[in-house]
Amino acid sequence: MKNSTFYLIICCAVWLLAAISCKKETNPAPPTITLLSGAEYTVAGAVVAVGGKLRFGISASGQDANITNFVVKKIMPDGSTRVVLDSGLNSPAFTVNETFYQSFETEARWTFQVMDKNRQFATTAITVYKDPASTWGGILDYPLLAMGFQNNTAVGQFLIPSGGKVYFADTAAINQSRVDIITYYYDDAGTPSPTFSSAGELGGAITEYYPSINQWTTKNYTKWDVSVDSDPVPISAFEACHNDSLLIVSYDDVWGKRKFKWANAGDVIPFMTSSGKKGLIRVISVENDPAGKITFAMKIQQ
Amino acid sequence: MLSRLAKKLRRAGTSDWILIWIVCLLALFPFSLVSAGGIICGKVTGAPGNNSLEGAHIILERQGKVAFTDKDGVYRISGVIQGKVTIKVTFIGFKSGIKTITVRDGQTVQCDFTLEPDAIIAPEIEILDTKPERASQESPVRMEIITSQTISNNPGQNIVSVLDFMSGVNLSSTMGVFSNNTVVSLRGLSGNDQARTLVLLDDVPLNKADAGSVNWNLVNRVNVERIEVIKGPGSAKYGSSAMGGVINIETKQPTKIFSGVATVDYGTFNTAGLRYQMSGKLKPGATSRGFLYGINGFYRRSNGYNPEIPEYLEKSDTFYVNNYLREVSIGAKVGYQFNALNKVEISGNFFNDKRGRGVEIYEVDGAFERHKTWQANARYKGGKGAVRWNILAYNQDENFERLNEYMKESEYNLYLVKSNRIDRGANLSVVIPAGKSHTFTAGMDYQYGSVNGQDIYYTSTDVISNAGKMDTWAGFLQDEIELPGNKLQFNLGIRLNTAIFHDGSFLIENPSYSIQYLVDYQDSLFPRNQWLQIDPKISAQYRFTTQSRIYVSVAQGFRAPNLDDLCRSGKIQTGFKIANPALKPESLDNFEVGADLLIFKKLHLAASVYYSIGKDFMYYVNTGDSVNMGYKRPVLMKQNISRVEITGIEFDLDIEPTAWLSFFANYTFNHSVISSFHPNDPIIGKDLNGKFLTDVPMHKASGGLTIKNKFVNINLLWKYTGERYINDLNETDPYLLTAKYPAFQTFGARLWHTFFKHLTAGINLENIFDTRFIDDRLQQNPGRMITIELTTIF
Repeated sequence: MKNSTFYLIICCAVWLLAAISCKKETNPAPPTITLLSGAEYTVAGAVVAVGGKLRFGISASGQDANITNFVVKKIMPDGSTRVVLDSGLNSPAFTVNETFYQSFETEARWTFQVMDKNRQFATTAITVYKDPASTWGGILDYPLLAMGFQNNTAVGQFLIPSGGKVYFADTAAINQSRVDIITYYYDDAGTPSPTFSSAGELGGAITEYYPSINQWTTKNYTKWDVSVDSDPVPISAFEACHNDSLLIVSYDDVWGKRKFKWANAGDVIPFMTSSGKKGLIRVISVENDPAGKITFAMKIQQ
Repeated sequence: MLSRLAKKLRRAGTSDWILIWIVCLLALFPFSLVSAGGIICGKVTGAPGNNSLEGAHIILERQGKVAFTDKDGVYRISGVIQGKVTIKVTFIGFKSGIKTITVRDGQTVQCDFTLEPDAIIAPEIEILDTKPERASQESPVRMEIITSQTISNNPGQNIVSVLDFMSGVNLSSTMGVFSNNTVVSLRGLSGNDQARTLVLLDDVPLNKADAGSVNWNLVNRVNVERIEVIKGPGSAKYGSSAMGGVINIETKQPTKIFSGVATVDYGTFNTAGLRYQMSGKLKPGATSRGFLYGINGFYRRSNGYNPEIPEYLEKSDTFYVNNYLREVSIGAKVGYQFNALNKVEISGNFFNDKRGRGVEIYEVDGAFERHKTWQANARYKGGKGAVRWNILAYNQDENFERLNEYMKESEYNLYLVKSNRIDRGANLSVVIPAGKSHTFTAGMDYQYGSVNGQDIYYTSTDVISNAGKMDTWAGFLQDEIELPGNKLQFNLGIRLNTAIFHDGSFLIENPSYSIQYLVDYQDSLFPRNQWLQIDPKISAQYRFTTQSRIYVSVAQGFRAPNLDDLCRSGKIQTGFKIANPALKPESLDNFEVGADLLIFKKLHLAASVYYSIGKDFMYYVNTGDSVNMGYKRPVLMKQNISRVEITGIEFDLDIEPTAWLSFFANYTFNHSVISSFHPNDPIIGKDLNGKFLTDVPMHKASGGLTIKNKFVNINLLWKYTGERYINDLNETDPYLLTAKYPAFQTFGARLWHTFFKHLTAGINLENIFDTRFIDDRLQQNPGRMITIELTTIF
C-alpha cells in the first residue's frame, strides 16, 4: 500500500510538471486592415481618367504581433498583379494616406495587405475603373539640359522641371517649392556616382553637399525608379515619345527610391515628382568630378 | 634535393603519387626488418602489494624508444643501441622510476621496477608554463602542444587567444569574445576561411559541413586539458579541411575521486562570467577499474561595446548600439574504465548564446545572432597487448538564428535567418605494431553533414529556403617505420576520401518585388555530385637525441566544397552569389623541412620551412550577369579556378634558465600568392594573378615572459601582426583608403597569486595600450580589457 501511494505521488508530480511545462499551442490572431472613408478618398467603383489621382486612407492594427509589411498591389482582370507599394515597418498599428495615379488598365482590383511578425495576413480591396474617355496627356520636352555637381561654380545644381530652369543654391532657396531635381557627385565605394536626387531625400545625406537645404521649409521629394538597371527603357522609345504614355508606363512606383546613383551616359531614368508628374531623363554626358556636370534630355508630364 | 623532389612530385599526377608511396614503402621495408642492438625487458609493479601495473609508460631517454606494459606488467624493448641506457617508468598515481643499465648488441637485459605510491601531488598552479609545450617529436611533422596551465596563464578571455601566440597560426577575430565568426587558420592560408583548417574537440570535428565554420565560443576554457596543433597536412589520420593543419582540443579526463576547477570573473564592459569543471572516478588513478564522470559549464554576459567607427558613420546612423553577449553552456560525461587500456564514455553538451550585432531600430534586442548547439558523443578506447583501437560516434546539432534589422536607403528591413545544421559521424582507428620496426595505423571515417536553412522576411512576404546533404567516407593507412637505432623514422601514409553531395535545393515562397531576381535560381533538386580524392603523405625524421631532430615531409591535403557554396544563393558583400552544385574539392601539396635543437636542456630552438601549392582553389567568379537588388549587382559563383603558392618560415625559441623564469619568442613569415587565376570570361573576371591572399600577414611574431615568485606571478605577452591585404585585388579600399590593414602590436599581461594552495586571484590585462584595429566591415576591436578573476582548484 505504501508503495502504491508512493508511485501515485510520483506519477502525479510528473504529470503536474509536464502540464505546467507544456505551453499550449495557440494560433496567433491575424492583424486587421480597413480602408478609411471620406470625401477625400477614392471609393469602390470609382471611374478615373488616366493620370488621375487615386487617394486611399488605410488603417491597420496588429493583434498578437507588430505589423511589419504593408503592400499595395493592383490585380488586373487577367489575373496578373502589379505591386505599387511594398514597405517594411515595425509597428503595432498605423494609419496612412497613400496617393497613386490611374494607369492604362481598364479595371484594377486595388488590394491592400498587411503582414505581422507572425506572418499572419489581412487584406482589403476595392475596384477602380479607367475613364474610357481618357486621352494621353501632353509633355514638356527639353532636348538638352545641364546641371553641375556640388563644386561646380559655373553650372547650377537645382532644377525646376516645369520651366527647365537650373539654379544655384542661393537662388533655388527662393524657388524651393518648385525645385524637384538636384544633382551631386560622390565616390560610392570606389565607383563614380553622379547622382540625381531631391531636397526631400530621405536620410538627409544631400545636406552634406548642400547644407542650405536644412533651412528650406519646402523640401520636394522626387522618387527615382532604379529598376531600369534590369529593365531599361530603350533610347529609341524615349526619342519617339510625344505624349505621356511612355512616361506613365515606364515609372514603377515600387522601385521609386530617394536617389538615382551611378547615372551614366545612355541611361534612361524614370522619375516622379512630389506632385505626381512623371518624367524620363536620358543622360547624354557626365563629368565624373565633384566640380563636373551632367547633361541630359528630359521629358515630363505637363 | 627537396626542391628536386618537389618538382618531380608537382609534375606527378595522383597515380604517380601512389606509385612513389608504394616504392618508398617497399624500399624501406627490408631495412626495417634488420635486427640490431640489444633488448631490454622487465616487469613493472606497484608497491606495497607488488601488483602488476598495466599501461605503465617506459621511456629510453636519448634513444626516443617508448613502450607500455601489458596486463601482466611486462614490457620489452628491442633495437636498443649498445652502451649506457637510462630507463624511465611513469604511471599516474605512482612516483616515476629511473634506472641506468648497460646494454650490448645481441644481449637481453632484465630491468624490473617497483614504483612507490605518489602521495603528494603538487598543485597545478606551481607549474611554470607560459607557451606551447615543446614540440612533440614523436612524428616527422611539426606539432605543438598547449597545456591547460598555458591556457589558464593567458590573459585572453577565450580559447583562441592562446593559439594566437603560436607560430604559423593566424587569428582573425577583431571583436574578441564578442565575435561570432572567429577564424583560426594555419600555414598562410586565407585568414577568413575556417574550412581550410580542421578543428577537433576530443577528436570530434567542429567544422560544420554547411560553411566549414567553427563556433569557438562553445569551448569551455577551464575544461581543456591540452591543445595539439599539427601544422600542415602531414597526417593521414585527418581528411577534409586539414589542409593547413589540425587543431585538436582535448578536454580533461577524470583521474581522481573528485577534482575540479571553478572561476568567476568580472571586467570591462560589465562583463561577468563563471566557468567550472568537475570530474571524478569511483576509484582513483588513471587506470583503475570503475565508473567515471564529469560535468562542466560556463555562463557569461556583457554589455559589450559599439564596434562602429564614428568617422565612418552618417548622421542618420543613430541606430548603432553595443554588441552585447549572453552565453551559457553545460556538459556532462559518464564512462566506465575496465583497465588501463579499455574505457567507454558517453558525453553530451548544450550551448546557447545570443550576441548582439550592434544595431537596434525597433526590435527590443536589436539585430542578433544565436546558436543553440547540442553535442553527443560515444567513444570506446581500447587495447590488447600492443594493439590499440579507438571507436568514436558523434552528433552535433546546431540551430542558428540571425535576426537582421537595418535601414538601407532609408527603408526598414527585418528578416530572420534560421539554419539547422547537423554534423554527425563515426570513425574507427587501430594501431598495430608489426615486426620490430613497423607500427601500422589504419582507420575508417564516416561523416554526414546537412543544412536546412530559411531566410524568413518580415518586412516583405518572402521565405527563401535552402537545403543540402553531404556524405563523406574515408579510409586511411599509415606506417611508422623506426629504422634500427631509433634515429631514423619514416612515416608513409595514404588517405582515400570520397564525398557525395545530394538532396540540394533552393526555393522561394511568396517572392516579393524585391526578390524577383532570385526566382530564376530556384531548383527543387540540384544534381547529385560525387568526388574521389587520394592524399598521399611521406615524411622522415632523423633524431640526434630525444629533443633534437631534422625532418622532411611531403604531403597532400584537401577540402571538400561546403554546402553553403553548393546549394545556397543569396546576397554577399560584393554582390549576389549563386549556388554551384558542380564545385570540386580543392587540394594542397605541402613540402616541408624542419629541425629542433635542445641546447643545455634549457634552450629549445625549432624551425620549419615549407612550400605549398594549392590547386583548384575555390574563388568567386563574376558570371557576367547582374541582378536588380535595388541597384544592379554582379552575379558571382564559386568556381575551382585558382592556383595558390605559399612559402613560409616558422621559427620558435624558448628558454627556461631557472625554475622561476621562462621566455619564449617566435616568428612567422608567409608569402601567400595566387599564382594562376582562370576566370571563364577574362573580360569580366578581374586578373588576380600575383595577388596576395587576403587577411594573411606576411610577418607575425610573438613573445612572452613568465616570472614566478612568492608574491605575484607575472605573465607578459607581446604580439606583432604585420600588414594584411584587405581585398582580392590588393587594391586600395575606398573606405579605409589603403590596400592593407596596417600592422599592429598588442601587449597583454596576467598577474596572479595563489592563497592557501587552492585559491588563485588574478588580473588579466588584454591589449594594455588600447591599440585599435579594424576589419573589412569597418568594425573596430574592443580595445583594452581588464578582468579580475578568482579561481579555485580542488
